[in-house]
Amino acid sequence: MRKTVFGTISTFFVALSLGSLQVGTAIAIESAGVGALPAHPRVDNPRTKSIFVYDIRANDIVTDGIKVINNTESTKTLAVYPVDSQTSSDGAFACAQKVDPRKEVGNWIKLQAEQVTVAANSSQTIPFTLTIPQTVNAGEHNGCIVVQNVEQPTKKNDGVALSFRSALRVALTTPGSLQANLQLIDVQSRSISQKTLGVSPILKNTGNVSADTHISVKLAGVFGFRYPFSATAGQFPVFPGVQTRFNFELEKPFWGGWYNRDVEVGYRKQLASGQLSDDVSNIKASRIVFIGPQPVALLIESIIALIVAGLIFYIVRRYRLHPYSRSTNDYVVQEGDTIESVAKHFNITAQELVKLNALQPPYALKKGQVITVTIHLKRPPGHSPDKQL
Amino acid sequence: MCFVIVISSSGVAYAANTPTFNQTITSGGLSTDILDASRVSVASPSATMSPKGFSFTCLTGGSASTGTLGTDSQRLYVVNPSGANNGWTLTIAATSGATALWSDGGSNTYDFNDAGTAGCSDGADADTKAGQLTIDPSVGTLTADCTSCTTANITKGSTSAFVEGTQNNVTLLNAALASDDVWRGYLTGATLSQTIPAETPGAAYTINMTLTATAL
Repeated sequence: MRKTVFGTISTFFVALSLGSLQVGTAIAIESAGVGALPAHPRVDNPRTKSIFVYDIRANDIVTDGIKVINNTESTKTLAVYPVDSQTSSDGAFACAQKVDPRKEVGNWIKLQAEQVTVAANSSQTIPFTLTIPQTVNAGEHNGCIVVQNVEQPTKKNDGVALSFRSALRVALTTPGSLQANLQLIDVQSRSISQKTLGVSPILKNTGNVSADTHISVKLAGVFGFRYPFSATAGQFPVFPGVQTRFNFELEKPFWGGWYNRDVEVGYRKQLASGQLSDDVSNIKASRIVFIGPQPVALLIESIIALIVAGLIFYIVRRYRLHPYSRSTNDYVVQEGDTIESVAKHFNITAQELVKLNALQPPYALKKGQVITVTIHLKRPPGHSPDKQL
Repeated sequence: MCFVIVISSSGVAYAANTPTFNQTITSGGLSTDILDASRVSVASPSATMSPKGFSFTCLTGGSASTGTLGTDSQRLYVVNPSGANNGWTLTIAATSGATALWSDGGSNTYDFNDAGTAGCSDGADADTKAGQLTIDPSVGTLTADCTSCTTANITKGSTSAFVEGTQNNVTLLNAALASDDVWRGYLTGATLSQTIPAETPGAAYTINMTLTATAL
């Protein structure tokens, strides 16, 4: 808003000085702080909009430029310097510090100026030359050009005092036998939080040029059920000679359980011609892992387990008390039947028969009397509830 | 007669005879900074470490001095106004390189990258000091701070200790090629843990570290 007002006022005064009442607007939109871009990106390589990429031979000299940008509201004095690249933790790309000795790409780049003052919301281009030494190994060589505000933040008296800088990668490839060979060294996983599982494929590039990889990580059900419960992917470079770890985060399945943790890495190999193969080489790894349920799921599962356990206990207990399933039926007393003989016939106790029919002492049965008997569903062979004595 | 004012990025005005509205959007490059919750740059950005009393034994593990890199009032921002379209990394390293030391400004120092006995004894590095700093970005929180961007395709680094000569940088964030080209966001809650060697004299110690956002 402030910039809009400023722009309008500026325009008004400029217009007034030219004897005009026409109102135009010029709005500069701030997008970031201090940074840099390649000054001369190549049309044939979109990557050169963001970084410097060269295919270059020994003894070659290249001239190029870095566009140093000040998108702040004040004039900045910026240090611009080349450094070698370093391997950061997890095998990620990093730039050496200004004090570090420059042995390779950082030493091959000579900037026309290593300090520049850039007005607010503007940019300046600093030309540089890149001189490749007479002897250089075939393959990829990386370095950085760094832009850093000379005026750094005030330092505190204790703790970690922080400074900031921006850098552009400088990637040189010198001809020869170029290879990018990836190995999937390991896939590690760990629980990050109740809802998040960390899965980290570890790749090693044994070649001499970077491999642009597409890494996908997913959890899928076991027993052939392949629907991915949780999946993620990313495209990352794996730098030559470096073992690189990528930390993906997946959403844990709500109910937990056993899952297939699938990792797939795709990349295009470098051909002898220097071009990338049309075919994608794939490396796959799959492992079954157990994932604990989330707390709410654990509670629900515990309740269900308790209910199931209670039911099982009830059924077992009932089975032990009454090992046979039974129903009742009417029985017409025959000549000579006694409580004991009827009970024995139906495989129940005399006491059970007495209790079932509320018989009173002396527990005599009369021919033609109808009594209730218990019929065992699992009976000794040869007996039938309808069988008459 | 009418005039249209066209203001270039260099601020020079020209006259033209066709009415046109113009605006300039200055291009931007990848950058990093510590900003507060109102996105104002913090004057003295730092990570404060927990104070420790003098000890005849090495303070390591659960006894080590700890701190947080990125708090709500000191957010570790990365801004990518389409300046790094192939991905980027955010790394941290000692400004003075691998031979840097924690210092009280005088003669008292201890190391930040000595792997000898988990930082409790002087290892095979160039100095004679013990001490080791470990940073764990994986426990931190990454938050996207723009309308159209997400944290997809940006991963946090693993817990890592500085080791002189072999681990001079620690990765905080690693953005893939498919991450949003226009992105602004911040990391908070990365943890720091510094092993304090036995019999380190009581004083206020400082180490200067540099955060680097690199376009890949």
